[in-house]
Amino acid sequence: MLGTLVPLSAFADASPLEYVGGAVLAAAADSVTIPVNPVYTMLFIEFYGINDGNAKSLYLRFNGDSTSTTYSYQSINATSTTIAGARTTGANQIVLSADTLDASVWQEFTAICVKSTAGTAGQVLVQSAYDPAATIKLELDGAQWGNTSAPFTSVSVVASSNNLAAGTTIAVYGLRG
Amino acid sequence: MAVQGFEAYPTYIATGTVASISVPVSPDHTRLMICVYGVNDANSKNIFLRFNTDAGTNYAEQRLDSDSSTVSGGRLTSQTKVAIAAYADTDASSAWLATIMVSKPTAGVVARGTVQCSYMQPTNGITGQSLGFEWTNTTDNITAISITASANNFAAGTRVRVLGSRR
Repeated sequence: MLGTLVPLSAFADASPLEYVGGAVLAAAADSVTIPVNPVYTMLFIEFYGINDGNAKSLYLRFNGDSTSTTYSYQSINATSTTIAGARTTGANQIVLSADTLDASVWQEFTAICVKSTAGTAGQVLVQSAYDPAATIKLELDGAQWGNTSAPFTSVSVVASSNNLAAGTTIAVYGLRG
Repeated sequence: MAVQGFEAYPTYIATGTVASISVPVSPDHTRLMICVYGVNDANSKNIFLRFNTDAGTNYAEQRLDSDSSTVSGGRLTSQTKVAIAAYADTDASSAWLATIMVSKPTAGVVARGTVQCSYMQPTNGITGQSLGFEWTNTTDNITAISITASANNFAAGTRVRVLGSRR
């Protein structure tokens, strides 16, 4: 197939990256959940969060699943010149900031989530930046949600304690098929 | 000014086991976002990325690998491929996800991109790879993307999603 040019007209029938849903918090809340139509097998999440207290970590969950202990993730954390890794298994969420965050800390993350069919586990990649005590940090996560019984039907971002402040935003985009 | 978004190619889904997947792309798309959801049918170990099936020594990468508490870096030059996942896997049926962003604005410049990959091994556990890469062929636009298993095959159901943005 090398050298075969794909006419741009071929994209007329292809599934585009569609807006699935989003939210801007008008008041503080301990979590935000975006329903997802199960036709989407790949999700792109963009999240901009602000803590209203010492929210510590953010959790990422799917389908409201907080009890299955089927989440596992491998993290790389970078703070100044220090880089550290950690693997977590048997968790009931993906933890997106391995740190104790101060009040009014922001956290921005983007995530790609794939669950190609209902019978397969969800695979997730996250790139996150956050700012505890005005010292910016970076975290990369590769994660798996081991639940194989259902496609994605919702995405939740949860504060581990206290709340997400008003102004926190999330947008979810999806690809079908 | 017209706003150019990403256009989606039809999803490639492997209907049987395959050792390599090649997806043709339009040279009009100078920015590509590629998402590969793969399952290995045996001990596939490494996963390679190539452009235009070029197996010459035209690739370089700087990588960051994490395996539990161990994080390591490495720079590779004059490579014949980009190693998306470079791991001495001993598990069959490993599931992995990689996102690749690559840009080659014109035919006369080097293609540059980034990869983020997670690799879930049933026994050894989950690992992560992040890398920046170059494809130094300056002759051609990107017309094909190849994802190849270093050994054995990808299982049926392996998917490749490609989005392209025009110059």
